[in-house]
Amino acid sequence: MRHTSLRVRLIAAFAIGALTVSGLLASITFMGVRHVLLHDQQVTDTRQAFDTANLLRSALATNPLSLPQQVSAIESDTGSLIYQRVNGLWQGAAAPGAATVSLAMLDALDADRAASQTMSVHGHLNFVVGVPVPAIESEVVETFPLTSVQSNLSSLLRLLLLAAAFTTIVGVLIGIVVSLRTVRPLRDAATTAETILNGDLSARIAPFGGAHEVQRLAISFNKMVDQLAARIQRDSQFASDVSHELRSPLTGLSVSAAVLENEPSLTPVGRESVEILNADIAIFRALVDDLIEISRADSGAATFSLERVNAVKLVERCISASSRRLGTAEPPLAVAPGCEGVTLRVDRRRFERVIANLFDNAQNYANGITGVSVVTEGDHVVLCLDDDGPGVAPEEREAIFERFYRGPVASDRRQVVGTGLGLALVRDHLSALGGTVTCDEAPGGGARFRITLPIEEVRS
Amino acid sequence: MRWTRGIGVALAALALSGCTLVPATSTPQLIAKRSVPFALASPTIPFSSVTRVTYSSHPIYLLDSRHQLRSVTRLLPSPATLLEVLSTLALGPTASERGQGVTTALPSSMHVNQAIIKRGVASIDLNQVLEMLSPSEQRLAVAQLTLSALQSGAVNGITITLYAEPYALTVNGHRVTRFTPAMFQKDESN
Repeated sequence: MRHTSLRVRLIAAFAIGALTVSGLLASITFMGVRHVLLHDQQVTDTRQAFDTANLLRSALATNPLSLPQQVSAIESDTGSLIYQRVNGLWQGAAAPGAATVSLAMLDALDADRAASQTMSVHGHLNFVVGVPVPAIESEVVETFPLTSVQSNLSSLLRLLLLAAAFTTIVGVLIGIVVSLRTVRPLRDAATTAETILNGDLSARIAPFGGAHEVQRLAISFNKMVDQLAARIQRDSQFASDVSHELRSPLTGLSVSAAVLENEPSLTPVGRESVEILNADIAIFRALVDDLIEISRADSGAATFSLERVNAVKLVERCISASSRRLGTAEPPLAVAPGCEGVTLRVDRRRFERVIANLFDNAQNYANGITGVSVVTEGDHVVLCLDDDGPGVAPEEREAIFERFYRGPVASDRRQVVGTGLGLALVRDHLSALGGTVTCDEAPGGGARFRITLPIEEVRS
Repeated sequence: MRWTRGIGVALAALALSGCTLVPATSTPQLIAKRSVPFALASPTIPFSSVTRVTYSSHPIYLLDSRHQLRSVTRLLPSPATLLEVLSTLALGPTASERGQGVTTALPSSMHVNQAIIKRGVASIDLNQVLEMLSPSEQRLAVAQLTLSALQSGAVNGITITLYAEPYALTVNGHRVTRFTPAMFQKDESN
């Protein structure tokens, strides 16, 4: 189903409204004027036909020889044509055709009834008046051209059509202005909502002038965002506070576990228990560290130490560090031509954390990273990390970046090895650096994590 | 959207029905008898010495497609004078007669100034257009006048003047000023 924009609908509504109103007014005006003009013309012509019949009667009774001159004079003055029928025979040089005087008109005259009719003769309308005059055994028929009325009505019609067209154009213009004023607040609200959706909780709708409803919408929207931001801030603060509060006893616990681990008097069972305790403490510490980092980012307290670094060298160093930490072989790095001189402006620690988290994720759930590639696309550098796992189902490729989201592979593991915050931190860090991360399918199977970052400079 | 389409169709129908410049009527509209002024519906003429005009049929002579004399009739108010008969002759053939090839040798600008009959001879005074015709056309024109006047009592022929100047025409090799029906009756078509 195709959706027409609100603006187009408003403009169309104004245009149709203007056209309807102007069309109706034009039609009513035209019909009214036509009725008046035609009625007046017909009354005048009918009166003239009676005058002509009276004149003919007088002339025939007193001076028949003067008849042709008198008829010519009347025809010249009125533009009409006069016919006389005596005992069924038309007199004079010309007889009217059937198109001029209809059979129905002749029937009326034969019945001694005067009659009138508007008839089209060769495309020209005539008003025909027939008058029986028994005293001269005649019927007098006079035809009057309606050219003048037609011309006037034609001019009026053209004028009314122009007025209707002008009114419609004015309606469209008003529609454009009204739609702009109506749609602008909604468009601003949508833009603000999208900005907030992208993580900028400081965005607000600017106060609108005009309609009360729109002002109310802006105020309510801004209040809602204020409350949402405050809530997130409180939650972040709470997570941060809890994490910090947990850190001290966790440190003590860790130290105690380390002391216990070095205790020679421990039985094998006790030593195994201490090792399990140490592993759990390590996971707990990683979770607390991630929580602290993520709550800092949420509260806006995170600090950045941006510096210009060579992209390839940075990636090489991160791969080396992560592989060394995990005790695995370094995956091959494919660098596209022209990438060697690419410089990024990043926070080195956060970028290293991004790569480390992706390596950890691959190690935990996908048998490690199998290859890394660096290419440039426009003004961005693209870094792809392919793993050797079963891949990520299309419907999960966005969800895995949610906090504490665990896919089927992670959930099936009896032992939870990750904190559930690694990929969320990857996205948060990259977003803070102006980059993006997405999950796709690697060419050789498995998952491909695709990172983009803006290029600061390219040195040849 | 159906409602907008409906409005469009309604507007178009209104425009088409209402904006015909002047509609023709299929049947005549009768005028009430009381609305007819001047007592035109009366069988007699009020306030006149002539109470009623009647008509009689008068033959006049025109030319057929072979340029032979042909008799046609005209209805004229009765009693019709010679002047009225000749004035009717001067009007020429009707449209339907012209359609049948009937013509006249009399010029359309011809005007009969006077026509009187004395002792069976009609004296006819015309304007001078007759002299502008060729001799053969003049002969046909004079024949039309002579034969048309015969039925109005000019049994002994006619004399013609052009603005009071005597008119003569050569007929059968003789210069003639009085034209008799016998001179032309052989030219009449059967």
